[in-house]
Amino acid sequence: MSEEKGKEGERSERERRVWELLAQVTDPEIPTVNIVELGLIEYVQVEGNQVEVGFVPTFAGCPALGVIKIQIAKVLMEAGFAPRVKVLDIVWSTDRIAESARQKMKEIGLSPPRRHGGSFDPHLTEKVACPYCGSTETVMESPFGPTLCRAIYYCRACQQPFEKFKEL
Amino acid sequence: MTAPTDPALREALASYLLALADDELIIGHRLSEWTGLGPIIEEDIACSSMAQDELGHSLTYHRLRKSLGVEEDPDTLNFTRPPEQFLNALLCELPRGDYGFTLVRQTLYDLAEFTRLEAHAESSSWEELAEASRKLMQEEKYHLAHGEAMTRRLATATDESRRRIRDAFHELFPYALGLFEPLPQEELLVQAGIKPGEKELMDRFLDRLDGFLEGTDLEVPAIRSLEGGWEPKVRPVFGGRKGEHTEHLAKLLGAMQMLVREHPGAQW
Repeated sequence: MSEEKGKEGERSERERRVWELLAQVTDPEIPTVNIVELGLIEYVQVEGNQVEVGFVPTFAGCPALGVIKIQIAKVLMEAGFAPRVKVLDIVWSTDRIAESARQKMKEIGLSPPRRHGGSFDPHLTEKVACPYCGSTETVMESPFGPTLCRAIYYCRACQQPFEKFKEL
Repeated sequence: MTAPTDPALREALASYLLALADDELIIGHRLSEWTGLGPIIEEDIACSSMAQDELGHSLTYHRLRKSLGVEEDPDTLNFTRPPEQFLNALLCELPRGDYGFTLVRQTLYDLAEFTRLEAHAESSSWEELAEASRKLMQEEKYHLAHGEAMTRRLATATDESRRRIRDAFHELFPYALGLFEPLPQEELLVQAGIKPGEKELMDRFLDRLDGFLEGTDLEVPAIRSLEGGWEPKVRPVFGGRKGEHTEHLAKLLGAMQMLVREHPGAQW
């Protein structure tokens, strides 16, 4: 019995370590935000040094996904694990993004996505808060930006262009 | 339902998915031709982003084919097939034209794509297709927001912009109907509840287009029948789903496949 518990304890210790390592992998397009707080990891399964990572892709055409998968494998291998990244068919939503990541987005002038509970209907007239001054006197200049996940806005109050992480 | 096991049904489904993957690939390629050449920087970025999205959607359909057991590698298929083996609708392969033409084509395409995705998401008996469609619909919402704003702006602005949008719309409309050309094995898919018939999808598309055109001086060139469907006043341009293409596809593939044809097996 106690041996069983010992094994369990060891496993959960390794699992904790894997989550820590995964939190070192950042989004190449938003380097201050890590993939765990973006909600890209659904689960980790640890068996000895074998690790399976359940990975949830974001935009179907996002070129960062390939890079992220390579980085996951690299960081785990360097720590002595034998990783397998399993891409899941789960529909990713920006509601999966943690509060910590939303804060970091604001700090780099990126307005975080609104929590929408599964339904959103983007319009160019939609008001969003400017990440610099907080004003909602803003206009969407284009639903497309420098990466697939971002739209371009302009704040009339502080006269700054800014970007917003799109709801998905 | 998990992936169908009946061989005839699987084959029909694999062709259907290839047709949709080809639509996305070819229109995505046309959009990418605006990269660096857009009339204003926002539209340059919009066309490039939508190109990236459509390629992602094409890959999604290839992944679904793989889950059916299709072994063909998407890169090999896309970079080595001759034109007559492509199943895309002719709408997607027409040269990009002026910006108004691209915008109208894209808007018609996105309205049609959204209609199809919605039908899969709501009622496909193949859960994997329904789930993938739900995902793609979320991305398509941004294409529609863009298309609606820009088309409306230009369709109600100056005489010249109205004329260009109107001319493009009338030229492209018969090709847009061609997105609903049924594949030869269409009946099998409909019977298995995987998708509604193409005529039904076309009717839903025209309902959506009718709503979209409200407030512009454009009208759907079709008559609403008493049963709720539509009777187009023009003949749809079919052929793509049978591999019958315009000369424009061969030229497009010439550019797209050049590198792989000149350096087979190259890695980079």
